[in-house]
Amino acid sequence: MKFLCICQSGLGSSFMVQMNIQNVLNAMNVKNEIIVDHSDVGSTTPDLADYFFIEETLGEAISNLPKDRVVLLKSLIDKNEIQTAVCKILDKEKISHD
Amino acid sequence: MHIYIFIIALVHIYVKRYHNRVIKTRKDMILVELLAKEQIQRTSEKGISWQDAITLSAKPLLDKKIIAGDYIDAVIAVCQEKGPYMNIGSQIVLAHARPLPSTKEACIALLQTAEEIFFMDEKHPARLWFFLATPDATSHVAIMQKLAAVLTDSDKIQRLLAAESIEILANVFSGE
Repeated sequence: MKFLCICQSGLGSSFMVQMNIQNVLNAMNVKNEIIVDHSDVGSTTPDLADYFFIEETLGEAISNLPKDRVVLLKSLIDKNEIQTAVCKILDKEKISHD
Repeated sequence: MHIYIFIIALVHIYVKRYHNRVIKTRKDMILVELLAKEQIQRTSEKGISWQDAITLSAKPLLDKKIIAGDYIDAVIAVCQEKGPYMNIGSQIVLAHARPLPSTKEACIALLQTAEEIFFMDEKHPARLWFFLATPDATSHVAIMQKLAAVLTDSDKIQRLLAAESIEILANVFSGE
């Protein structure tokens, strides 16, 4: 399983989301291997990951990605919002967590 | 016998001094690494634009010649082109762009504005303006890890918003 966090430059905002997702996965005691990485809008293609995380106002920039595998975030630093989104994916994929 | 006790006492004092110095250095390092006081500013100026806020937030880095004016221009251009996505959370903007050769090292600065400034539109008001620069894709990793730890802590964000001096702002980052 791979999560890819995307932003315009692929350096700041996307990296912030990556770290916050990793913290959420650790806190939820997820044992399955989930790779979390970050990248820029321009170089992101549907085959690069199973799920994509992006700030909601950039949603239009990634119309090439399948909507059911894209998570639009209002805040990139709200642990609760990120946890809710990650939880939903883990349940859908039947990955156990606390 | 006395001389032995004297030597042991002397060693003891020395070790203790060294230990204190190490602790002090570490504490300072955390502060310097993420956000030194010189890289933090406050303004109570009224009616400034988001472009002004970003330019002002970068000033300490520009003055130190760690970054150049072309990078500030690039950051503003990305915002204009791509919209307010750098408003990463309530009241917080993390201004940044792709690396430019003019950036000498990974660095960060903070501007706290007394008034809310609309970042692009009224849906995105902000008072904490972080400015990030990195010479490549990896040099800023340590900065980002520390920044994420502060920004995901809502108590620390409240302290940053309420801070009435640069010292108080700096203390939030040094863990005091």
